[in-house]
Amino acid sequence: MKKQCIQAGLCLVLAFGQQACTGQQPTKVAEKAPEKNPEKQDFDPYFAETNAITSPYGPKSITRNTVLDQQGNMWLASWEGIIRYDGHQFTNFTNRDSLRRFHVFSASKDHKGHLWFGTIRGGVYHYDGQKFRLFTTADGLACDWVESITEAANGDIWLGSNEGISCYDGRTFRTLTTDEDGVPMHEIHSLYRDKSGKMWIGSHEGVTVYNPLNAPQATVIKRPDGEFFNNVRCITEGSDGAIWIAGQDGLFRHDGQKATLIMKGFAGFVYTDKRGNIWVGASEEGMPKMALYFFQQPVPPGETFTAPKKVYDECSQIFSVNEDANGYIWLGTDQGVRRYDGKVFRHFAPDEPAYLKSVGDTDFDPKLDDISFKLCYEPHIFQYFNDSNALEYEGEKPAVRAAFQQQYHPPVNARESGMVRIRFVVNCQGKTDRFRVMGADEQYRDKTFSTEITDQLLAISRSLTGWKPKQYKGSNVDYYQYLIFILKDGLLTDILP
Amino acid sequence: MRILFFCCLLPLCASAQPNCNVYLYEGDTLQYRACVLSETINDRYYQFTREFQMAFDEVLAICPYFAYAYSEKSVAYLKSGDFITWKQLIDQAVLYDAKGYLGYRGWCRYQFFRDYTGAIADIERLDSLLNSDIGYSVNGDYHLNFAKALCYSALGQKQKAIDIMENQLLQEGYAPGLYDYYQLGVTYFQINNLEKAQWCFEQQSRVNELAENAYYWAKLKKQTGDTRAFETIKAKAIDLYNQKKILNDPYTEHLNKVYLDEIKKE
Repeated sequence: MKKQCIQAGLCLVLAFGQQACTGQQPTKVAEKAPEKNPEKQDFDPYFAETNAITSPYGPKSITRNTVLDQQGNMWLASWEGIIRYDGHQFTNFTNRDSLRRFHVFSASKDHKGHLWFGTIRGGVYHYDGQKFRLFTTADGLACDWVESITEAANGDIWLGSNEGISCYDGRTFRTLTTDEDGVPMHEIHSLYRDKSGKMWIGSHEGVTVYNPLNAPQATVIKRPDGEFFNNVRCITEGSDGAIWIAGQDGLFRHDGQKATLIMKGFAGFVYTDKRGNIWVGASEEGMPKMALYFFQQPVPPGETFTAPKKVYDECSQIFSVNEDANGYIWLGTDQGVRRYDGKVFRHFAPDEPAYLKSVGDTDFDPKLDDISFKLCYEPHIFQYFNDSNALEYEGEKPAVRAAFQQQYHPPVNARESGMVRIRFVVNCQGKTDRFRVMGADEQYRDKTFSTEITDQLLAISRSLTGWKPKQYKGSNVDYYQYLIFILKDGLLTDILP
Repeated sequence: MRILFFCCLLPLCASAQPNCNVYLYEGDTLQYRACVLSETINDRYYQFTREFQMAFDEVLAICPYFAYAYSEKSVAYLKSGDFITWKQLIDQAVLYDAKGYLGYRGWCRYQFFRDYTGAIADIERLDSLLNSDIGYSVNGDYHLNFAKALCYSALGQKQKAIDIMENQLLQEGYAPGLYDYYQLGVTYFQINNLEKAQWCFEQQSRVNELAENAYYWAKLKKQTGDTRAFETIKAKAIDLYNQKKILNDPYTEHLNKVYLDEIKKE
């Protein structure tokens, strides 16, 4: 009888390169929508229904995984559906696009930047940035219960399910088998491709390493006591190439030769951040509640890793850890998501909305901004229209327009269309800083324009020196100004406001 | 001829606060409760504040399909140029009340983002849904049919724009707006119909003196070789500009806006 997947997280890490799937005969993906099995309920009665499409609040229920897209948005695989956080608000795409009402468990990104979301009994969704496409067993998926997704070195998508691994090459699904590929065919909780291209498979009954160069000879990894691992939830690679294994038996570190027990108890998730620090969601032996632990890098000379430091223990379950573009650490928990900025854990629950003090506030960022740029009345910064005089520049709008007409050169290889907004602060002396760029396509969707375009627009915007200080009660004040550039095939067709 | 004047610039709220009793009358208690809760938010909080956004979130928690709340939340994003968040929010308002918010969304697409095709689509869809007049832009500057005509004009479909504007001016009971004749005159000027253009500039001058109107009128005189009139009207344009009798928009700029330097260089 098939086991039910319960407990903590799984690990999703991307890997690129060359690798091939072998296995049983492929099943061609149907061009039309898969037929629904009338015996199956087409929704999960325990799906956490929410009405909202957009909200300042994150999910309140289980969030199993997160994945960062190429635009820097954090996507959540939650019991409330597929949710995106864009830095301002949460958008529930399951509601917005009327997706199937099943718990979303896994999330991953492929080399094209496309996103993949695995559900519990609802199949897997592929999102190309425009629309979602559903794949189920009707398309050849081994099982509609997909707990892990990872891209293999050759670009194939490996999907770890309750009935083994499906391999999708962009056209067809194949189920890998023990006989032909040496891989397990039971519950797959974790898939990870290491830097050398080997696929590490964490299942309910052990760890298997699939090397495409030696296939179908897969290697089974054992615990230090010679036994098989149990309920392997997550596998990742440290910056030193060691493999970290999290599961029912604790946290282990495999140095290429043997595994060493690092932490006893249950380890649900292990993650390596950009600096090489190791983050672990784990509970002490016999304790139901989990905590976030941290192994700081670099390690002292002569040691392989530091002692774990407990960072956070205010939530019951930690299912996943991920790092966003700002270096913040996101936790998927039993009560939505929390974001750690190095000092504070922010919980995007209803008691703590995702709003800034004022819409569009731009805080000083030492990586982007000039520390010598001074504001006269910080923190209050006016908006450019507060005095009803719109844009005020020496020589008026034509002078702004002329600067761009003279200096902007449409790139030959970036015939892109849409809008770019550059927003900045004009201080009481008419000087500017805190420039931020936002882009959208012609349908107002997030778009990252070619740097050939945005770098030019930003440089010209920074070079404008004719901004007039605005006044309030007779004094010059600081204010936010923006410029929106309308682009058609790379050509600058208009500037607003 | 009646002339429609707006005594002051209308604040750019998404739309007026709905009459809550309408929902009660229709038996929609959710929208009624949400509506009542939203009545004082604009008085208490500035649109850009966290408190404003949160107050409307509370409203939406009561009724997730109360369109007014989405539109109110969208305004600060519109004004800060955050076209992505604005569009997401205003789309919700349109989803739940297309008749109430298509015109507003269409106008904003034109005014803030020069999204001419999007604006036309919204206004035309609104027209298809209503059997009555489609109304004015939220700031009162133009009838939405005029706004649509401006979009066609910007897209190069000058004759279509003229037809729409002329048709609107012929509507029974229609009071020409503050800039209608100017925009019609400029469009005639652009297709070199100088006779019609001159008539429009004269009408505009009677309705609402504008530096831009005088500027185009001067150009017309220059084009017809009337140097004396050109100089006189150009001087008038500069004088009007200095008096701030100009096409004014506190957020963006009007189509066919002309600036002082351009007048002087003519």
